[in-house]
Amino acid sequence: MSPSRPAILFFFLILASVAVTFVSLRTGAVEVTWAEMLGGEGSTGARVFRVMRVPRALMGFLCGGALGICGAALQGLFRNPLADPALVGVSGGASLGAVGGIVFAGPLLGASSYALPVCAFLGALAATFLVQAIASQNGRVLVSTLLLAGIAVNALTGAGIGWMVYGANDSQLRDFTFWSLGSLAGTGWHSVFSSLPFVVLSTVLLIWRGRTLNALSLGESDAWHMGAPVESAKRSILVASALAVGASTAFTGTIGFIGLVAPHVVRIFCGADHRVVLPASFLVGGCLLTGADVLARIARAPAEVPVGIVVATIGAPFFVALLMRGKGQGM
Amino acid sequence: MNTLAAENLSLSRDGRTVVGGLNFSVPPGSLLVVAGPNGAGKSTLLRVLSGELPPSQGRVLFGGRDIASIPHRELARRRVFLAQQSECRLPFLACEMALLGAEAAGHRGRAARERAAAALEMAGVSHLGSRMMSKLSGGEQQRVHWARVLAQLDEQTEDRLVFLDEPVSSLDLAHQHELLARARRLAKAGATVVAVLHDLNLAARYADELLLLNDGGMQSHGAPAQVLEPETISRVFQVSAQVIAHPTDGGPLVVVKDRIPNEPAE
Amino acid sequence: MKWVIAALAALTSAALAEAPSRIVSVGGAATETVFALGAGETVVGVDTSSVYPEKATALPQVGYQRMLSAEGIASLKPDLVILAATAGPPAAIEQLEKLGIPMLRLQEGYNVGATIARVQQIGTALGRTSQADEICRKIQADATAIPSPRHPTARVLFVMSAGGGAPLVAGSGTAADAVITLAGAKNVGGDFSGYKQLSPEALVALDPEVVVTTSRTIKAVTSGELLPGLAQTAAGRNARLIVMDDLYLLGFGPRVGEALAEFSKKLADYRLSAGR
Repeated sequence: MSPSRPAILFFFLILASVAVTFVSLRTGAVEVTWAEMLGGEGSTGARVFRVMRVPRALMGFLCGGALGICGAALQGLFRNPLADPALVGVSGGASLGAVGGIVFAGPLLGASSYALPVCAFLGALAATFLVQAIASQNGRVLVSTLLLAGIAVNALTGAGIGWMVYGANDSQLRDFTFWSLGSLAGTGWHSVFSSLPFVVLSTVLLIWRGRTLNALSLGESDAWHMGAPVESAKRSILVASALAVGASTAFTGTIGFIGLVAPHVVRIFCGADHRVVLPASFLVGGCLLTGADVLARIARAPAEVPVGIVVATIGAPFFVALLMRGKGQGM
Repeated sequence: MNTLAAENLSLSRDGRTVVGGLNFSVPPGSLLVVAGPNGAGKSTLLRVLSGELPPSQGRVLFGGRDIASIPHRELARRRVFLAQQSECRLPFLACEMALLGAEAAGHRGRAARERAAAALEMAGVSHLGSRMMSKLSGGEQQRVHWARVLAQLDEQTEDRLVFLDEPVSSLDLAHQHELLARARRLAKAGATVVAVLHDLNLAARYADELLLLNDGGMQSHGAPAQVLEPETISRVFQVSAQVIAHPTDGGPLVVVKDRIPNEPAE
Repeated sequence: MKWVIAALAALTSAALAEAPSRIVSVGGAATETVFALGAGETVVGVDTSSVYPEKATALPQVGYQRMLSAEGIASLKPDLVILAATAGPPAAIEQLEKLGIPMLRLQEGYNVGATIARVQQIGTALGRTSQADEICRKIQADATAIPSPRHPTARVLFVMSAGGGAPLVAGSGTAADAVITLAGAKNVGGDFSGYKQLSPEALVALDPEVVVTTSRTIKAVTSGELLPGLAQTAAGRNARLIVMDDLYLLGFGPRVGEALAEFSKKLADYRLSAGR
């Protein structure tokens, strides 16, 4: 056991986070000068920087971080390295909420840029609570049933989405398609301020649950005998994941893969201790999404590519490479 | 004196009563072995005695208190439990596994690491410390979990409960005896140890008291030499057996001849 | 200090200028209108639907009209962004507002009146009202010259396929529905709304006499049938298929009168027998 290893990891992760954020602030279709970055007024560059670049970089980090840390927590809870926020219904619920909003509350969506995120957020929460209710028996959440309940609820939201998409008109269909591709393009300060409290609260709560998640990796029975608050941990991890992922992806649309890949990257470098894995997954997830967003912005400028496509395009081969490299090391 | 006692205890599994009306007590400083055929409810009994599962009837007392009324965290510092098999799919190292036990006992930082190292030493697996759990053999993993359990057990062994659920089924002969000898020393130092074992000769060798369970309840309870009667063994396990004196210590030694064919249904 | 002066200069020049000199145009019909008004030289960016006139396709692309990027548009330093009613997402438009970029949001509607209103909107914004008046007069003239249909009950169905995907037919509320109705025919898909997939049996039941599609769809459908089951309909048996450019026919831009007249003429040429 070398205690210096996590320290080195965090040093590099924080360095990478700062670098990626800096690149994100500097990169884009509009040329922004140093003077404009440092508080210029009036010019387009200065306005672009304040109105768009800064909130966008922050949102990329918040959303990617939320996906990363929730992925790590859920993989620990399910004791399954394939778990990610989609598994407990967050993503399916958010999509159903979004498409419901687009189809049934069209005029509302035009009126306020909050309307779609609110629909998606409510959908995410409702689906997660449904999953939890199905998997509860005598006040206990059965993790094995939770997985199946997640699959069932995902199928149900999929069916709901299918029905609504079937009944949707052409423009609603396109709106939904682009929401489901995910993008940080529309991010403003309101998205940052709306999701920040949820993400921060959930992140703190999940990191605080690190020791319990370590115990839970041996299964609920062993964890209970080690004095871990098993039931309350299960519930709080589910709720925290739904809040953080729901609140952030509500604004950005579906962004897959980060919740799955970030914890794996971390574990390959520094093992399984959740007190390291959770915060490190936040940073890795944040870097991944912010970095992918930079590419999304410049690949076809002045047009934009949905960031979800970029994440999958770069992330999948990277993930495969890591797996090949880490083959001999468990996981 | 903190005695572990079962009071009119009934256990059910999936709504079916497995064991009814158990009454017994285990004085501190002794090692109780629970034995019996498959499905007799040994593991369920262990989980009820440890407070993990609620009994369907009756109660478990520890030091006169209902075990269900002892706060979870306090109980975790006084009671340890080694499962038959603990599975860990995340890439934990063996030393981190032992550290989990030390932290469960409330130790932090350097103190926790020292306790974990000492426990690995006690379990004879110091050399595996930097290996990944998933790369160890089943027996090696079990010994690391034994180290984790030892790390959770405070230095002060009095007033402590140690539950071992078929702890040696994946171990080789030497390590079976090593683990049970350690358990016995813990008992001698004041802990109450309850272990589920299949091997009646291991039970005879290490148990202070033996509890035989059969379908429906307790068949026999007492010192191994009293409990291990050929008739009792054949009734409980459906085998014809002889009990002879152990050539070195004179204790009971069970020699099984063959299985008694199933009796036709009544 | 330098940038303050530059900003001030930019502001003054904007105020003094009569017409915008850097336009980003979103929406095929909008771009077409700007070019028709003779202001094509001032366009610095267009969306993917702006495919006419051909010159427009050589301009910088700001992407799909429902998925605009505010920063991408801002990077073209426009002094006017013309937005079709379908342009979005709302968040991007909000950001453009915050950046202080002047925007012209066009009126909605698939009819001659709304088209004329849009041409006027753009003409006014560009300071080219006389040219706009002229285009509107032509639209009106073409539209009124549409030959009155011989058989107002001609049963027409519009089919399109985006990117070679499953073919969709036009229901009510679509531009195609509006075009068919304006030409004096009946859209047999009018009972449902929006673009829908149609089963072969339902197609046979609708039994269109004429099928209309876009040249892009024809290009995408390289082999086989345009629609399964089409051969069993009156349109299929008599090979009555009208193919027209989609922006021209459905864009409701400055050529709408012309397009409607041409479409009506093609319909009339089939001399459909009365009845049914």
